[in-house]
Amino acid sequence: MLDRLEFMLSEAFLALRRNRWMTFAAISTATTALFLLGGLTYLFLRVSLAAGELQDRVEMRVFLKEGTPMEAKAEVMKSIAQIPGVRQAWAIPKEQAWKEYRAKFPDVTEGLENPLPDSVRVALSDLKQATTISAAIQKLPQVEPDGVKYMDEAREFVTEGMKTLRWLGASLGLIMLFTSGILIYNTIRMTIVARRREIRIMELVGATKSMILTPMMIEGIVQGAIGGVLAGLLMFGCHTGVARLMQDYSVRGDIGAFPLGFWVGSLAALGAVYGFVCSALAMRASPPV
Amino acid sequence: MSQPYIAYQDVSVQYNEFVAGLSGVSLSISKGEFVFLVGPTGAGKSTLIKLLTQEVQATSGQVLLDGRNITQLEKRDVPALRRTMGIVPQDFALLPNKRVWENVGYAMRAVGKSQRDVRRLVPQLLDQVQMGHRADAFPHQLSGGEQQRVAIARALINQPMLIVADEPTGNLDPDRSIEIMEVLEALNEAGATVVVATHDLVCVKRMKKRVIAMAGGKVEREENPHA
Repeated sequence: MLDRLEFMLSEAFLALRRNRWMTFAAISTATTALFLLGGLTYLFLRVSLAAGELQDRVEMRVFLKEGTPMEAKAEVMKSIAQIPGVRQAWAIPKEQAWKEYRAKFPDVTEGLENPLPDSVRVALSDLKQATTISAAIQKLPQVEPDGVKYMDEAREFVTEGMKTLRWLGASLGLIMLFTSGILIYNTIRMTIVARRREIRIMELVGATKSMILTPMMIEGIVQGAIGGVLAGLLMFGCHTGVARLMQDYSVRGDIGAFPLGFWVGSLAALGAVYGFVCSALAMRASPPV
Repeated sequence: MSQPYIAYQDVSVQYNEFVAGLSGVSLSISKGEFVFLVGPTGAGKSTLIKLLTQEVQATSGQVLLDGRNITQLEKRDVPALRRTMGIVPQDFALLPNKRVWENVGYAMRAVGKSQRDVRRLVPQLLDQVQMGHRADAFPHQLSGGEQQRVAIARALINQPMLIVADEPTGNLDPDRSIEIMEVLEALNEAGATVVVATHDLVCVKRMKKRVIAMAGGKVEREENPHA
């Protein structure tokens, strides 16, 4: 059993060495494809995570009409808390708001009277519902016209950004995956042509189909897997580079540690499966036995 | 009477609408026989051989090998069938970048033999065809006759009881051809059944074996000096 495995592996690696330029082309394209696909997926996941964190931080500020009585304020609080997608609501009396504002901007506020109205701070549980929530709050009679303020631009930016990333990742990744697939496919077909003498000898002496085909399958799997490992390492390199740039330019925020093992393993596995499929297709197109 | 080792029973092979390989051929070969298949190109000699190796399927009729109908074989069973015979091709089919012993060893590895088997059996096989002294040579350093001996050694890796050779001397001069036939005769004397398709009538005449003459996909005549 081990002898057979050793023979099949040695045949596969011999073919990889023999077709070294085609192998190089197949591996480099697989690397690029998997890097784009993996990199954009990673970016998408990170942005999703950041969006989730942003969601936790995004709050609405609702300004109430001047002179709203205490009971009406309580009613507003109750109404807001009942709107779906609202996590919590806090009343901010105008005195407290002014105190905080003065602490923040003492020079600007010096000698001024408190111009701020009573307000309500609203935390959302679902950022996507921000527009609906805002409209619902705006309808409350105690709320100032145009009295709901929140980070709608940032939210729009994140949503649009994620949409673009998703499309970019899917289309670029698929194009590259298709290209690398053709290259792996061609490499295997070339191997079949280059090894026709060996294949004939194997057939003459009664080698089984699996003994003849497995080395070529291994070849495709190895090409895909190496492409995956290199793509994972490339992602790690980019992640480290971005982290260093952020540090150099004192950009706020932490992009965290890169899960190298997970990405290298996942992309290698994905590449291996892909290489296997391309090899199988190549053998189907020009069956060696 | 014992059953024949190889029996073609009313076998026809139609390659396409216009080309027939064989037309209703019936013949039998006993165990331990040495048989020459002769005839002009297109006579059906190679088709008879290829039916045995299952490179060609019979359109009708059946081929029995040691009592087993091999025309009914599933594709997946063909490698096992081929491991029961030694196939010697006309063009030697040696790997140019491997030494003589590696060529034989490679074929052994391809059928699942271990490195240990290779080390043990390759020298014996090369000695059997008098090529032990050229084990480290590359094919391009050998004469045509020597290359064909290596091809025969490779055909012996499964210790076959049947050796089929399609034009084994087609690329050789008369002296080398006789040498190759003598190697095959020695294997026959050791117990193997040998079927050789050839154009080489000089060799055939010298060997004094059973001859089946083919023409137009049919058996034209048979000669058996031992009958």
